[in-house]
Amino acid sequence: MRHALMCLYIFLLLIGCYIPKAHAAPDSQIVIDMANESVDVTTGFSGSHIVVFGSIDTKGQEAAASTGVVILLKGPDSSVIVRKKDEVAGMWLNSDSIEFKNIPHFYDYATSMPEKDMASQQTLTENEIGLNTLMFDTEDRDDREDTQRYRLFQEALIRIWQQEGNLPLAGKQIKFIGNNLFRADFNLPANIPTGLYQVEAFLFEKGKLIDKRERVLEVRQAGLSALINHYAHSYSLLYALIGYAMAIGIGVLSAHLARRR
Amino acid sequence: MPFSTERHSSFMEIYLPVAEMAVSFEVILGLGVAVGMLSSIFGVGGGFLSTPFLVFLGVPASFAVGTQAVQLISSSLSGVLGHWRKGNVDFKLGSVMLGGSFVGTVLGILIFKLLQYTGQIDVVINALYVLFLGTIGSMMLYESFKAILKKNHTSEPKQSRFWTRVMHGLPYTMTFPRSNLCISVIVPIALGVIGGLMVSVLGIGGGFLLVPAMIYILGMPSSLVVGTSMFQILITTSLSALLHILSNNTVDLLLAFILMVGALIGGQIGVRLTKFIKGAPARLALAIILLSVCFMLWESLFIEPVEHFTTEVVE
Repeated sequence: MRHALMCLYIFLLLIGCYIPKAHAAPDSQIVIDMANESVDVTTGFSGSHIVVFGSIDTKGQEAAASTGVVILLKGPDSSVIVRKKDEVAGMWLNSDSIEFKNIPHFYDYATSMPEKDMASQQTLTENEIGLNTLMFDTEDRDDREDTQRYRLFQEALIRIWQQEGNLPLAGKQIKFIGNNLFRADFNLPANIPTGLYQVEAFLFEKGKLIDKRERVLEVRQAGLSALINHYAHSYSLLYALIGYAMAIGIGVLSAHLARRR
Repeated sequence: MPFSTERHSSFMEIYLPVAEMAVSFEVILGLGVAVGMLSSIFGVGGGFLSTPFLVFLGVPASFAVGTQAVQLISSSLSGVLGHWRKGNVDFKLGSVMLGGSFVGTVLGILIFKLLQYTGQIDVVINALYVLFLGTIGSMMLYESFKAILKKNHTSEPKQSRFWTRVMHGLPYTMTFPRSNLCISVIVPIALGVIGGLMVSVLGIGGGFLLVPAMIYILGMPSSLVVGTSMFQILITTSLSALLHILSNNTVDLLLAFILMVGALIGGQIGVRLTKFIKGAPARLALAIILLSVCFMLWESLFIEPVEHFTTEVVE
């Protein structure tokens, strides 16, 4: 038994020595950073601007024309109910609905060249690059069977979220500053959810993914806004009492003003 | 930044921390002012105006109704204090009504949750508003036109003969010395249930429905009716606000605060305007406001929408 373990250790050690060697070839690397690591949602929040900086480390060589960069910004996953209004006895009522799950509540991306020139559709799909690679999974499996109906609801969700700014109409353009330094700009609308956002950077060369980096962007309520939200959810009873105090104060003041006249 | 594509809006946006959305500060304050003016000129709560408008601005119906419950506390409290000083509140009758209101409020919260679950809440709220506002608005329009045409006729409204007979046949009678009544408690309790339902489902006090009912059905003196119904609304809406907070977390106090401050300002403007707007012309103006809101909601219900789909994020 001990002998077998010993063999395993040696084997692992050999692998450990082998891997770095295999990657010692001068492959390019990508690094990114953000102007801000977090977004503070305060009472004055009306959307935010996210800047992602990055550079390609080409190990001293000239960046090839076939080198492509993609930056993804993805919000927390959510479940969304899409409802369809139909005319029932003259009134427009919600009649049919599909609940989609694991949909990023915000999704935007920037590329240095058209996606289709960057890599194969399969590679793009695996890395969720581009709007058409998002999986629209449904809560109820049966909803996927009628493809025509499914597509109708899926298109509606994309259309409405594009209008609200949660999904892009098309990918943005990455701006290169010099040969290796680049930046990508994103706009977060005011109605975005709080939570952890993922920033992903991909480096493609000749249709192959050669490097990938991930960062986290935290979108959180701050200041008075955070305080109110915290009390509403953690100390509901106290929150209610504050509401009462506020309403009673204003009510008494208003009655007092009315009396003075 | 030169490449910034941020919207340059002339309105100041304010982020509602619990509803988690941005609204225009000026529009919300203006809505509060309008509601305050309505209450001081016409003596109505104004919930019928603010709830649909909040929904129209994109605030989810649940937050509009929940937040409105807090705003109603301040407006009904200030009304009760005024009437109480003049001795125009029948606390005994109001308390009996409250028995029903509590049942109505709890029932209303459950109905609300059920409608939310089935996804029909907005439609049902819209339809009920159209029904109520349309009925009350047209009745008021008819009545005020009649009053303007023949000015001499101003009789004190009182109980109709039909309801006098009905009330006499019911059991569990109780005396209400303040209102000089000896009636069955069943009808006030039933009115309370309706009041509670309106507060918790629609976010309105329901005074416009309860006040005439208390005059024509219960036979209360009209001087006591408004104060008593406001007392009933005050307690009912306090319970409704608490339940909305504890069960759904659908009360945004920042939104409520802006609305209340607006209403306070509007109330002061309204008091100065009452000199010019009185009696039948005032009721005519209110009828027109009610019918316009009704028409706006009717449109959203009966006219084919441009976008047939809606989305709701559930988690």
